[in-house]
Amino acid sequence: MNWNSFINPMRMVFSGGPTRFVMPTLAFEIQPHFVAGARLDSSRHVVRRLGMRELEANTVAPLPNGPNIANLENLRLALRGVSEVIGNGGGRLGLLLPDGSVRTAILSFETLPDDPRQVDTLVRWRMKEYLAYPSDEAKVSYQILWRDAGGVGVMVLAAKQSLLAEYTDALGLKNGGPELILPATAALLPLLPDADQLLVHVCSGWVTTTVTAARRLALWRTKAVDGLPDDLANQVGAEVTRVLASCRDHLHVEPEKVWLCARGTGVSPVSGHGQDAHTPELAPILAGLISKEVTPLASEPKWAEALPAAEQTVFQSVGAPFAGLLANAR
Amino acid sequence: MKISVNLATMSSPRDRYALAWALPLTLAGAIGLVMLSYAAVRNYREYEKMRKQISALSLQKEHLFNKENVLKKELERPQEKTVYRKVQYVNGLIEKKRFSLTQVTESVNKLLPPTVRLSSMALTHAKEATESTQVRFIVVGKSEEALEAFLSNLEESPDFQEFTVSTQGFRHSDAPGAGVTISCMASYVGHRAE
Repeated sequence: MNWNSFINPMRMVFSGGPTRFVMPTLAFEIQPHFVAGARLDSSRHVVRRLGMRELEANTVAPLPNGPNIANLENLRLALRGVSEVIGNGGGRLGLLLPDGSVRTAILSFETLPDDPRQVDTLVRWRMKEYLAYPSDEAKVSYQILWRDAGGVGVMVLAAKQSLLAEYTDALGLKNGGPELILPATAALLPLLPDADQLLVHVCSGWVTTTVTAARRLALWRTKAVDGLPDDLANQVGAEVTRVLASCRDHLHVEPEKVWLCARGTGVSPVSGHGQDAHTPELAPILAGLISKEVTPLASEPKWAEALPAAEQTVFQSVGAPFAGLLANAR
Repeated sequence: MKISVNLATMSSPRDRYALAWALPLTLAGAIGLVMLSYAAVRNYREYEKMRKQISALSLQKEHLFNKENVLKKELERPQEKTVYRKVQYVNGLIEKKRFSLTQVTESVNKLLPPTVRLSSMALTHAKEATESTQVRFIVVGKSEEALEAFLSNLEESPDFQEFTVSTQGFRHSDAPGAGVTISCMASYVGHRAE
């Protein structure tokens, strides 16, 4: 008799095991240019309240290795402002981080062991080449994307534990920490339809591109973009062109649609240059640069129907990841 | 595409409930410890009591054993052995004196039916006091039925035990008026009952 099928889940329960997605009641997003927060109603699948505060330049610098928060007081001030809007009542707390703070990789394995601890060791070993610090210092979470005769595909998120502690401390929680921590782009994935898609997420000096093929996440790439506002579009266009070429050459996939989610205004955390990255302005420019139709990743209006009118405008600007969290829980 | 990843550190049930369970478990542990201590003390006292009793019995046993040895040694002395033989001899004489031939004859006569008569009787004294006296007698009956009645009486008599017929079958006498003769032997225990 194979006891592993019984022992492994029990071991996962009692030892903590790999952490799985938890639908938060309150969610905060910290980006270099802004802090946003939302109160989510998971039963009705709507955003109840939404708040946003802009951050001063050089408050947060999202890097995978090293301190991210340069000005803790400013960040806490902004978080308090958001909390005043959405309320700080009890419930599960979620935290969305800049993509630049988290390393994300799509790994393929011939096979995976049944024991979660062995999988964790194997994944950490493979993630060494993606991390600029010892993998023991990383908090790792993985999701099996596909499992077939050809092997097993796994999406792996890794963030330095000290870096996660920095963001958690900034929230000023007295008991425990957030029950959900994700890079912001991961929260956008549930909004994509099931087809070969390319998602471009531009936010506060970083661009992340993801490709889904045959309902599988096949590519994830995060890159810092720098320069003047006009140059931002060119840099994003160049990045998307590279990704499209890579899709054709390596994945043999031609994405049916290119989706764009551009958020965040302010100053580039890298250069200090001003940027203006809103989807409606950037989408036609990007379409011209890559010679392909670009569709704004618009949230369904029903997500925001419970919001006050003033907050609906904020939702259109920065609320897409919160809508993604609701879509993932549906 | 649904996601199931999460970089948050979830506390395990062990971590979450450790504090909540700490106080009741400590209390339960303390109660258990007190009960165990109480049981241990009680068991120790019981053990001490039993040990003392066993010790006293061992001393008594040893004392009796020594006494037995002394008595054995005394009995094994030559003069004591002589006394023992003399006592045995006296006991044998007493046994013989208690035995009465008339009484035996009377006991046999009581068992004889009217048509059966005692022809002869012999006694064999026992060598040891514990052994029974053997009585051998020959009876003559007018008929086989009369002898069978005698044998039946003999068997049921409390004065005689271990009854055996010496002759193998019945024998008819040629003399006129004579019947059937039988020779038998039995242990006489009538004098013991007195």
